[in-house]
Formats: sequence, C-alpha cells, structure tokens
Amino acid sequence: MSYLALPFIQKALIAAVLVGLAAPAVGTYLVQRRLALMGDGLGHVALTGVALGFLLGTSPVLTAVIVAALGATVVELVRAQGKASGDVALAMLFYGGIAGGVLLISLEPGGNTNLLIYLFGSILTVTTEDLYVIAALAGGVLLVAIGLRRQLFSVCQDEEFARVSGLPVQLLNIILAVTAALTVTVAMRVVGLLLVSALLVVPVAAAQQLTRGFAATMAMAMAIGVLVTVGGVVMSYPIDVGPGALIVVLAIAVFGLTSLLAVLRGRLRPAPA
Amino acid sequence: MNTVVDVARVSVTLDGRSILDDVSLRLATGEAVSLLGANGSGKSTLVRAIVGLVPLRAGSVSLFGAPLPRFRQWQRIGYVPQRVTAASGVPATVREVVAAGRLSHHRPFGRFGRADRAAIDAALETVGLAPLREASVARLSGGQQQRVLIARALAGRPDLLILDEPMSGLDDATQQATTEALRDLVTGGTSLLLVLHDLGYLDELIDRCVVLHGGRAAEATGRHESSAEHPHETVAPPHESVSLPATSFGLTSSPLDVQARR
Ligand SMILES: Nc1ncnc2c1ncn2[C@@H]1O[C@H](COP(=O)(O)OP(=O)(O)O)[C@@H](O)[C@H]1O
Ligand SMILES: [Mg+2]
Repeated sequence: MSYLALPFIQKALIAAVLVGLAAPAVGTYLVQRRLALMGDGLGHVALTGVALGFLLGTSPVLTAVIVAALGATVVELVRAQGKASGDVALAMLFYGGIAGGVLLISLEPGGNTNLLIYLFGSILTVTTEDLYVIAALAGGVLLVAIGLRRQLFSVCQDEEFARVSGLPVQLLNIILAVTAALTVTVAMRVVGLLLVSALLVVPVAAAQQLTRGFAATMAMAMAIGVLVTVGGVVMSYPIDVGPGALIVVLAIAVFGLTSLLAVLRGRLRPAPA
Repeated sequence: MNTVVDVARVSVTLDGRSILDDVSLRLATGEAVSLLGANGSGKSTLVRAIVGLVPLRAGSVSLFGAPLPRFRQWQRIGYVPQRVTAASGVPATVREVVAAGRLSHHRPFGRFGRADRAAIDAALETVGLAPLREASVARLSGGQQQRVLIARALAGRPDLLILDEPMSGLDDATQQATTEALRDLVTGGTSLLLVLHDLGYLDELIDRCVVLHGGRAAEATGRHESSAEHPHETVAPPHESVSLPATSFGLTSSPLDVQARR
C-alpha cells in the first residue's frame, strides 16, 4: 500500500473525499424532487462549457461552471413558468448540451484529445491548483446543501406548502439548480461527464433502501459517496483501471448490497410501521 | 371585529376556463367558516387563491388587513392542502415533514430551538402521531398522511388555519379527535377556514357556511340556515342561480347537497 504515499494519489484522495461528500448531498434533493436525471442534463451542458473553454483558451472548468450554472437557471425558470414540463426541459439540456459541445469541439483545429479527460474523468491527474478549485466548489456546495437543508427539504417535498410558508421558492430552486451545476463540474474531474449523474444519484438510491428519514438518507448517501470514491482511487492504481468507471461500479455494487439487505430485513421481520 | 380574510369579488381563470366568478368572502378573527360545494365547484381553487397559489384575474384578497401581494406574515397562516400523499422521492420521517411547518418562523440558515421542538411535539400529540414520529411517511396509511399534513400546519401555531378537506380519509375516531383539536384552537382564538364535503362532527364548531356553486359563492348567514330543508333556496338566492354561467362545472342541474349532515 506504499503507493498511497505518492503525491498524486494523495491529491486524488482529497478530491475523492470532497466529491464523495458533495455529489450525494445535492443528489438527495434531486432524487426527492424526482429529477434524478437533472445531473445528466447538466453534465451534457457542462460539455459545451468545457469545449468553449478549450476554444477560448481559458480554464475549461471555469467555463463549464458558468455554462452549466446558466443552463440550470434557464431550465429552472422554464420549469417554473410551466411552459414546459420538467422532463421536456431536461431533454433540451441533454441535446442542446451535447450538440453545442460537439459543434464547438469541431470548430477547434486538429480536434482535441484533452476532452477525454472530461468525458471519462481523470482523478489521478488532479493538480494542486485543481484541488483548490475543487475544494472551493465542494465547500460552497456543502454549505448550501447542509446549511439550507430545512428550506430545500420543504421546497423539494411540497413546493406549494413552502410558498405558503413564505419561503422564496423560486430563489431556492435556482440556488439548488446552480448548486447541482457546480457539483457536476466538480465531479466531472473525478468520474467524467458521462458518469457524473451516477455519483449524484446512486449513493442516494443505495442509502434509501435502508433509511426512513431524509437527514439519515443524506448522511448515509454521503458516507457511501466517500466510501466509493476513495475506494475507487485506492483500488484503481494496483489493478490499473480507470478510477472513474470503477467508482461508479463500486457505487452500483453498494446499491446491490443495500437492496439485498433491505429485502432480507423485510423477510426477517414484518415491515415496520 | 378584525377581518382575517377578505376576498373581494375574486375571479380566477385556469387554462382559459373560468373557475371562480365574482366570489366574495370574509372571515373575522376567531370565526370558523366552512366552505361547502360539490366536487369541482372551485373550493380548492378559492382556498389556493387565498394563500396566493393561484393568480387572480379580477378582484383582491387581503390577509390580516394586508393585500396579498404585500402580505409577509406567513407564520400566521397554517395551510393543509387537499392531498393524497405526504411522500416524495426520498424517505422522510413524520417528524421531518411536520418540522417544515416551523420554517415560516425562521430565516435561511436559522437554527431550530426549544420552541420549535415543543411546537412540533405538540402538533404530533394533537393528531395522535407522536408514537410514529420516526416512521417513514411513505409507509403510513392515507389517513395517517392526512394527519401528518394537519400536524405540519399546526406546528406553525398559526392564527388562521386553512384546511382543504381535512377529514377525508380519516376514520371516525380520528375525525372526533381532530374536531376536539380544532375546537381547542378556536377557543384559543384561532380563525378557521375549512373546506368540507359534509360538516360531520365539525357541525357545532362552524359559525357560518359559504357554499360554492359552479364557481360562484352564496353565503349562508347562520350555520343553521345551511341545514334547511331546501338548501337550494337558502344558500343560493334565485338571482344567483339564474346568473350561473353556462359553463358551471359538475353542477349543471342539481342543487347542492348540504343535507349530508349528522
Ligand atoms: N390547475 C388547473 N388548471 C385547470 N383547471 C383546473 C386546475 N385546477 C382545478 N381546475 C378545475 O377547476 C374546477 C374546480 O376545481 P377545484 O377548485 O379543485 O374544485 P373543488 O375543490 O371544489 O372540488 C374543476 O373543474 C377543475 O377541473
Ligand atoms: Mg378540492
């Protein structure tokens, strides 16, 4: 296990912990909203942002954050106007994001191989500067997801009741959407844009097999998130596979395990009230 | 007497259809008013318009003397929507859902304190869900989920409680217990606006009935009039009936049945 002392592994581990905590925290609200695919849509939009960054010669992460946050806000506003349902708005995100990204990439002379880093993730190449960005974004995401948990819970659980409570529902929805966008851009460095949504959703799905409450689900999802991201980094090096896909495979394995436990628990004693 | 709710000549159109037409309604402090009417007569829409969930085409709503657009004292209002489930995509405990009723008292990032916990516990006791506080709402029966929503509204300790068919799906014993709880609130000075299918146990609690009839309101002056032999005459004066829009929903010919009282 001496490889764990390698600097790039240590940076990867720090990034893994941050992303493992942040992604399921936001994912819990998306699942509660029944918007589990929102992360995917934002991932696609972030692709446009990444491509734009390459084209402009600036940081792809920065442009991805901006474009994904803008996309999230627009979708939220469209949804709130009731002009399009949530899934139609998501479909626009998916296709617009992919098409925009591919168009911008093709504008760039000679194509771009760096894009693969963002599509599939590359946590082992995280630099110290990357780590600062990831830490700042993950910190902001956790501040919102935990600090505003009661308000966000209320809005996601019963939007109309939240409005009658005097909560700024539209603002909270936009904050959540932008937070989800930030999470996606942070997590893309780890598991890649194609699998980003898995890190938001699968730990939550795994946790809720065993939990009865919202806070418990979020806490357990975050624990599972850290377990699989750290586990993925630690295991990927000796067996020499890409950590991004391994992390998602581990998360799905945990989901299988908790589902099995839930079934066994249901067998052993009658369903609790 | 102070006016808690003042609905003045409100009209509501949804999807191009006129749902409420020139409805007026007043609720004084400490009053208990029930809103009756057949399915689809616009009761829920009126209640939703009162709490600002539905835009008005014409007319105005004031709460505690403030026009709705400028109303900010949401902690004074408890709202129980008409609903089939209190569950959502992620499990939530009964206590977590009821705790949402305290948010009107808090700023973002605010912490819950002893007063919040006391109000939540009291609300759970009132609806008889204290033993189930850590249960997942998705696993509760429809009637129990209804009680969760009532407790959520009670947890805010509101001055005005608006309940949209709170008794639907409740068994007899729970209806009686809920009636007791509401009576205590009225005694304590809380104003009540109740959408009901029939008055049932709440009969003695209600000061006045307002009947919606295809999107128009006819106010019965005293509660006993609403139980008259010929409800059509007392609750909907002839000129009202004549002027009913041709598009009145669900109620084209038969008069309202407000006789289903115990
Ligand atoms: N959001 C909506 N859009 C269009 N029509 C609606 C909407 N909500 C309610 N309606 C219609 O308004 C009428 C009154 O509904 P509602 O207020 O729920 O009646 P009630 O509560 O008295 O049963 C019904 O015909 C219903 O179909
Ligand atoms: Mg109704």
